[in-house]
Amino acid sequence: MGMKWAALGSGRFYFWIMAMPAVLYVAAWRLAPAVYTLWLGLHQYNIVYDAAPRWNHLANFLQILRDGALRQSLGLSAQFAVIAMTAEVLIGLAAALFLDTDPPGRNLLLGVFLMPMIMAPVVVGTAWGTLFDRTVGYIPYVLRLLHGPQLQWMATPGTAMFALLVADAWEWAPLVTLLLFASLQAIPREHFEAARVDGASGWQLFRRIILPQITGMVLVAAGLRLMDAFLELDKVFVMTGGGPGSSTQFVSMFIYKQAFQFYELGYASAVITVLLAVLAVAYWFYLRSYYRTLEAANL
Amino acid sequence: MLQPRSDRHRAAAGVVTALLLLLVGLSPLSQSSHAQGMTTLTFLGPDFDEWVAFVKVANQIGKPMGIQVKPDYLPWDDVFQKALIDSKSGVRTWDYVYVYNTWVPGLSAAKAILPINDFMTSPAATSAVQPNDFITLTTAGLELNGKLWAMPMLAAPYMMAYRTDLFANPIEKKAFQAKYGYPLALPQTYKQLMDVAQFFTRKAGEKLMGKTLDQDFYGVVLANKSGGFLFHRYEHILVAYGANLIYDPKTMQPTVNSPQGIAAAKYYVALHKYMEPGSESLTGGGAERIMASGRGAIAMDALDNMLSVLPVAKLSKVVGKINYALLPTQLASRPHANVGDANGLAIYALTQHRDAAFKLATAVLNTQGTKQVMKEYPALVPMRASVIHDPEVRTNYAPVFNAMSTFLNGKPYTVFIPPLKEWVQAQDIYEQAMSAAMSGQQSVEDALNGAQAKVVALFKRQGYIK
Amino acid sequence: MDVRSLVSGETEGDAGARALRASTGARRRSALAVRRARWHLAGIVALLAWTLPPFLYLVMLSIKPERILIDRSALFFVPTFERYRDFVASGLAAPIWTSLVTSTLGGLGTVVLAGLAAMTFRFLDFKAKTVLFLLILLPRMFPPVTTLIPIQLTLKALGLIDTKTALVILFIGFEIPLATWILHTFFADVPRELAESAALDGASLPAIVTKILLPLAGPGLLAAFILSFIFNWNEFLFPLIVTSFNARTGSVAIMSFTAGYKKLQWGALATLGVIMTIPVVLFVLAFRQSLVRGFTAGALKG
Repeated sequence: MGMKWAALGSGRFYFWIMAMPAVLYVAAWRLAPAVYTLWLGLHQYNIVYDAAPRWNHLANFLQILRDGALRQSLGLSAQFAVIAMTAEVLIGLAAALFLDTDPPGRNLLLGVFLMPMIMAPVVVGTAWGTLFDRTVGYIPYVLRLLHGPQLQWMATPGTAMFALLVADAWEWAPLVTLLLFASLQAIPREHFEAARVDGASGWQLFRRIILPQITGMVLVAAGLRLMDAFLELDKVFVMTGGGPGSSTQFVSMFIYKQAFQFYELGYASAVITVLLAVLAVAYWFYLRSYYRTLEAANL
Repeated sequence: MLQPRSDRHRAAAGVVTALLLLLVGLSPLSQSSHAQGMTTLTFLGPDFDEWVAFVKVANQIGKPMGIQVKPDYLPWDDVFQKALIDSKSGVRTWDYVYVYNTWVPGLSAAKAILPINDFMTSPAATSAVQPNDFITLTTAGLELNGKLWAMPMLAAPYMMAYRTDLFANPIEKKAFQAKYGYPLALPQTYKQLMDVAQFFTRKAGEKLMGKTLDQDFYGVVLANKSGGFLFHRYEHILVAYGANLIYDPKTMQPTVNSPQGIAAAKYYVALHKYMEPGSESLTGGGAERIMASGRGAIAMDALDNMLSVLPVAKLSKVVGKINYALLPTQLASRPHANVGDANGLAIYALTQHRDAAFKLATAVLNTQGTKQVMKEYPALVPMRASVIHDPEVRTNYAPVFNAMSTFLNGKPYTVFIPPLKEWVQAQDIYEQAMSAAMSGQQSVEDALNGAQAKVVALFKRQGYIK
Repeated sequence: MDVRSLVSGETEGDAGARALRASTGARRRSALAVRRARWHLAGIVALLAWTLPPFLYLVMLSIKPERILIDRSALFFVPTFERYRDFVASGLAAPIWTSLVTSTLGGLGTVVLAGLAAMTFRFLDFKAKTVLFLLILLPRMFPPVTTLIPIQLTLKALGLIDTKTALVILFIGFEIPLATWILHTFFADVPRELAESAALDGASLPAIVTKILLPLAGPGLLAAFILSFIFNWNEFLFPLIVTSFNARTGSVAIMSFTAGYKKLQWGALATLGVIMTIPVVLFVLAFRQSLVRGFTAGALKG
């Protein structure tokens, strides 16, 4: 990397200038609003009934410590994120392993499999919310035909959570597949052949050859899904609205309600600030492992 | 090696398409800003049939006046949020805003809408509104601080729709008498409603009126979707049990977990067993479809919700088998207790067409205009005495007339929601607690105690109590 | 073989070589091939059974006549296209159009800005590089709700509330982090020496960019554009808050069209779901390769 672009001379300066629009743009439209949010977190501000934000001596942060509903939301989000991530990694890995065996029409299959994660989250929520619906949905209907349990999917806490998990797994297992498929493809084929000649079984093959090669990418995919599932909002919005009761009120929904149902922007901003701090730490670890994996896999 | 080249072709095609899009996309922009001498009024509201009808009629009536109305429909609860936030951020786009009576305190305190009284500055303007024509039992919810905040459009009195064939059936009558020790009749108390609902709840394979059912049958059909639907059905039972609506307006003390409140909530949770499964995700329209498919004995809903589905042959299998009655009660001092709900057309505070907006609103929602709207939406429950008593309405819209007469002659005990500007928030807290209790996430007591604490916190923050 | 020839050629040689190596004996090979084919068939069925039902279900609901909509045993019926006709008649074509225009312009703006930035970050070493690069990627982690209010206030100050311009401005900003990241990984494949030697030979900056870098980065630009477009198209929360009447988008219109609570909401909901998904399906079919590549590179999606 040692060589500098001395030869470009003043062109070097122009090149540098090229990066500036994007940087300034992001600073103005993404970073500045975030900074404002941090500032707002220190104030009492109800956008409808307060004329202007007023400084309130960290009262918002004290309230965060005492807020049982927020604690519950954080717990639910964590629970959702961990289960969703586990399911997605398992399903995603299975699909990736299958695609790696080169079935006919592989790329088309992969394309079809990817559709859920590209379509609008609002539509994903709609589709699954309707499938689980007692009146028009086929999931309760098929269960009834099979004389299975008659569940009130959206009306009891456990089943509503389950429905959200299914929808999330459907939407995002493809992302895991995509990442793992890429790293599976990067494993040199000779390794398989050598092991096969040695008479290794399918499972041994997976344990000894595949797993060590893709562990890094599994961690990356898992970390990515963990963080995104923790902030899940759209499907909750459409499918359960956070209910029944508060049993699926994840932390993003909590913030949304504080900001746009109670108009308590100050408090909502304070919660966001704390959340951002936690996420920043998580991202730090994530990016580190991501770079390491990238370097190792040479993707 | 073919791949990259075809990708490049596609990219080129993409760029060309994008440029075309750009050209065509920007041209309508310049067109729409020069409307041909017409004043365009915008309407922010939900995509409800009566408002679709309103927009249609408003355009007919407005045409000779040089006024057109363009609607922008949003989900019902988002309309409130949008009106508040837009008015706070100085958006001047809107002229008309749909309001539900529970939104009036919040929207008026935030100065998002203008009171109709502000426009009644001349005798001519006042007579255009015809304020004395309103049936106060229905319009009081749209009034606050002695002012009318919206032109009344549709009354939503809550009533029961019941299956006349079931209640008259000799087999069922006999069985009911044997089981409960009193004759089967339309319930007058909530205790009786519970009995009737329990009695008529049947599984597929059991018999109803002597015939074997191939589908489950439900005692009572209600819409319990969160976001307002649940609370707007539950609130009548709350009042019937003698409880305040969320707080006592005299002392400003929240009363969510009062003994009456807990009794009402326990009743509703018990009744939930006899409601159609999945009621938690149903709106009024969805619930009435279940009733219309012949799978429920009694429905409780806003009158127009029921009238727009149950008597319509295209949608309903129970045409001619339905009658309407006033809600039961629990306290003799509160006969047919109910909360007066209504919606109307408000004028947005930052409108740039004040005069045109007022002129057209009164022209459409006067006696003649209302009748025209009813032609488009026959289930409209009007709020003008002159419309209800119009001979044409009486003959052409008999179901509406009869149900409304039942309502007015029954002299129901009607309360209106209190003038709390945070009403929608308080209601949301209460509704979430009910949802938690109904799903078994929490006991009724725990849920309501939790909601009480939240409402107290809200009131303290706003400085109503110490 | 014929199916495989339809898909990318990149695995062809590889798979052929493997088949060659696997042929230790003709009989064993055919037995293996049969087992493998069965195995593949089962896998394909499982994969499709997992992915497709929700799509098929939406399509079915959207064409099922209103009267039998809740009749779940009715799987075969005479389809009705009433809801699609209603869709056209109800003036919802305008919001879809707004979505199309703003998503496209937003995507183009993103690709231009992010492309310039990614090139610089890849080919030039300078002091603040890492900091600036992180600065661009940082917003990826903000939950969308966090910046809604300040943005609404800013747009109000600029007089841009409820305009298509506002949406384009926001969309560009949303996807710059993602696009920069994707393009950065694509440019990583371009040998640095190529640009450097051109520069040493005295090629001008525009020449380096247009003659050397852009042609090589074509697929990357395409991938970045498609992903930006799709995310813009799907965006819901911001259009809901910052637009009112003149610039309403399809995703917001979906919600409103379906919220008429006296209608049976499911049919209409399904219809808009189908309409919103059509562009996505088209993109998947047309640009599979770029999408896969883009998504893999952009695992840090914005």
